[in-house]
Amino acid sequence: MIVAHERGLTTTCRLKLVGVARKLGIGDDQIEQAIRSLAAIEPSAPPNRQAERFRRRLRKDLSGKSRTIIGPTIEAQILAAAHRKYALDEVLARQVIAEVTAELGLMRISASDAINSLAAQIDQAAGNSTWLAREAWDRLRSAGAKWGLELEVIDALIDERLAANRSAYLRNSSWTRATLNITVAAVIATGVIIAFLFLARAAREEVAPTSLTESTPNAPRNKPPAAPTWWDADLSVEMAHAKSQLKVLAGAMNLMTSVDSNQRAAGYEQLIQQISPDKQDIFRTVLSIVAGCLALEPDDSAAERLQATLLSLFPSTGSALPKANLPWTVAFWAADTSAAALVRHGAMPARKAALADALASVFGETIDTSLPQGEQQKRLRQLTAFAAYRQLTAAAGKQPAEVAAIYPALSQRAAAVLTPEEFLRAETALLVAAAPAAGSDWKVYERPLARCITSPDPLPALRVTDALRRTTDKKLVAFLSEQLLVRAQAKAKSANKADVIAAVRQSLAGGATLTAADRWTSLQEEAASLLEKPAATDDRELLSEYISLVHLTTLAVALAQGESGFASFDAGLAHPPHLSRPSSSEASRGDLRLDEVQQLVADSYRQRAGLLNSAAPVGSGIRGPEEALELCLAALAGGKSNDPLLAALPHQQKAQRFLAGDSLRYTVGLQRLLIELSARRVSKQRPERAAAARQIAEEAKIASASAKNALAQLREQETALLRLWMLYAPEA
Amino acid sequence: MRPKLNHWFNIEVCIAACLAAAILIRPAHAVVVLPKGAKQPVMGYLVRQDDRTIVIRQELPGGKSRESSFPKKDLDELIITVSPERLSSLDPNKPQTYREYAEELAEKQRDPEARDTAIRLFAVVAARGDDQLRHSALLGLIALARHADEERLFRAAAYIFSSEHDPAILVASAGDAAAMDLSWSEVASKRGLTPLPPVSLDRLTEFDPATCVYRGGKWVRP
Repeated sequence: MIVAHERGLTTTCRLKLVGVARKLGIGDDQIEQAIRSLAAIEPSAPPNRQAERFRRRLRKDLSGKSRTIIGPTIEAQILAAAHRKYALDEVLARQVIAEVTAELGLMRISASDAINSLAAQIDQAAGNSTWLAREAWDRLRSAGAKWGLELEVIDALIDERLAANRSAYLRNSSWTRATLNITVAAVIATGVIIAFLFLARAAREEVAPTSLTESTPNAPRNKPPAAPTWWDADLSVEMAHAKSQLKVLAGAMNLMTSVDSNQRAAGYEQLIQQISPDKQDIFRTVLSIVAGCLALEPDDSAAERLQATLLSLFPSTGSALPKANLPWTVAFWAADTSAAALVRHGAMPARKAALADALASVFGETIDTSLPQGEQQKRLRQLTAFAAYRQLTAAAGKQPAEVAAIYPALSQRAAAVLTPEEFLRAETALLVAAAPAAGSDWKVYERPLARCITSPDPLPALRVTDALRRTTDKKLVAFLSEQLLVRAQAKAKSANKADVIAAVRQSLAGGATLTAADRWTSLQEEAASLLEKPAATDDRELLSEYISLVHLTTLAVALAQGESGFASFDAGLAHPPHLSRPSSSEASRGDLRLDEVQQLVADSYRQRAGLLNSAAPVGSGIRGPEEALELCLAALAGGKSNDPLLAALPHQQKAQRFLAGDSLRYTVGLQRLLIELSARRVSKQRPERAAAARQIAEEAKIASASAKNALAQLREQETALLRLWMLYAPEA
Repeated sequence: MRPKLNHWFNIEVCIAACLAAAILIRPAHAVVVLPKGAKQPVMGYLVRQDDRTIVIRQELPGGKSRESSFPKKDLDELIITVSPERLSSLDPNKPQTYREYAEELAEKQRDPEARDTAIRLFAVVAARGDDQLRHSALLGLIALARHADEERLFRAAAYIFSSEHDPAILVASAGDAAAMDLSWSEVASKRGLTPLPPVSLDRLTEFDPATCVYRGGKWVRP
């Protein structure tokens, strides 16, 4: 009855049972035995409602506080609350606390744990010293208080350790004195013997060989390094814990306690090198230590080395892909660590700003240092996911099998940290690059492709049409064609890729809102084949390429104008210019149809001039390509009159006209000037691409100088113009 | 196996022949002589001369050559056009010395070697000289142009690289002005599709102005 009333064999139940048994005159040993037997047959108690309420409340209070440590003080407060609000006894409440902390992955430290940890910290701080500096003493008291220990207990522990050191010192001193005495005596005795032997030899006038023995120097005392004074209580606690619990970090830890900043930096590098997917048990500790050291390290160069090592863990385009085993674990750990460092208390503002700048450089996004830790962690995780997608997209063409192997892990992580829209966008960009290159591995992308295509937003489906265009795998073509046609509710004229793409675009593009990035992507894909292939050797083919290049450059100029150029771009993309089919007599004569070329490029240059001269509409009186290019030059030259390049432009133009002597070569000359001005414009408006612009301009000069004729010059220089204006495209 | 004695003898003879050739074969001076009463000058390379006679080697069609001896008293003029000693003495840090010698050679432009050397020296001055020297060299190049397209290029360069940008330098013929109105197909048929040359001081001529030191009969970089 007592057991049922108390809902199990609780402490209260035990006390009541013992009380009743004693009243009945039963001996203590028999009582204990009876209770043990009762415990063995005790039925499982029904759930205690109060305990469950307490559990729910505790779970609610502690969830989201992953860094909280449940020390003796906090635990005592929780126990008191459990008793006061839910009438739970200490044993049951302690059991619930243990279960909830384990469930939430929180660190729970008992008083004995705390004392042990503090003792380890005291050992480290005191080393073999017989006294302790005031600051170190205060730091230990602060750390101990954080663990929930009374100050008296902490002082007693420190005194005990120092007393032990003093005893050891006295013992050592006695031994030292004794050893010294013996050594002195031995030296004197040796001297006497040597002197005796010397005298004896001198007496015999003989020289005997002497042997020298090297004295082995005494090994230095293995004195445990004292904690650096710049460590705060949290860092000291983490370091003590790491040193006592994680032996694998011992080497790095020893270096990190050095007074030499170079050694500390080497220690940091060693520490981060230990981070690997198969050592996740050390992640949390190393995170705290790295964040603490990044924030508090007094030497800037050591902090920079630590920061650089940490940032090297982030994915970046061109760097080696992570291994297939838990591929992104380390990168996301670096994100969490960086977030922790940005909000770490005690960090110097300049250090935080430097870290934020470095992260901004890695991710290409500004980092807001004022965000609270949770939001900062989320933001950095998002940026890490984006960086990983960029890395995979860049590697998709060269390492399709490796990308296919590690993509699912990224997709899974990214889905958890990105918004649905961001996730869809990142996935689409990767899939468009990876699926056509995957070969037989495309099945990995089957479900994600279907997810993108069936999205309510038509844009991903439109982007996937680009993947369809580049795909050669028959099964993937069939899969994409079917999915896209169903999504677009369209019917293609034939199963031909071009017809499918046209039908899907026709159906979806009307309702879709294409962004500038989408348009740039379309242009890049249109231009890619033309930019990659070498110039044709046949003049007719050369002219055809020149016309296409002129058209694409004008499209790029349109996009570079922003929204005002979108309409021109969309119209131009849909209607590329072509030379009309030559008649049989023209073909047999080898007619280059130069006049038609002249007319087509004049139209495109005129359109380009209109885009660049938005303020002054281009009149219809413009006749040839050279007149339209002169207007383009005038538009690009608008700026400071004291710029030497602009001041010389009219003279350059006049000299080119004189040198050319005809409209065809004058067009070549004007292209040259347009390249100079376009490169200058890119350098000013996109300083990060100034080097690329200069290189393109230089390469154009070399290519033009070695061109076989004026047509080849037109083609080469228009290629350079297209490449220059493509520099306005946003980075993938 | 030891080489035979006559084998060593052959080697020694070859070495001696090479040394003799190296000593005897020296760059000959280009000369132009104008015999009294002759309408055409004789151009060739100086073989030898003394107080009274001069021997010239003339290059003949088909790769052959002929040595001709002229008494000095029968000559109206004897011009040694390009002097290797003068070329060797030119100092890249003093571009004016290049201009001075180029102007001397330009006066003997009937000799192709003198004209080419003058063009080379003017090109060096244009690339290495100050504004005044450059302008002077470019004007000198215009006078030495070997064909109309080259003259057009030198004029364009003289106009662009002069601080005054004198439009009088850009003298266009009436035909040039009309060519601007030709369609591209007409341009291709009448003027051809030759490329437009770059107007760059480094590429004005076929000579690289960076190789501006004359050593051992060759132009090298300083």
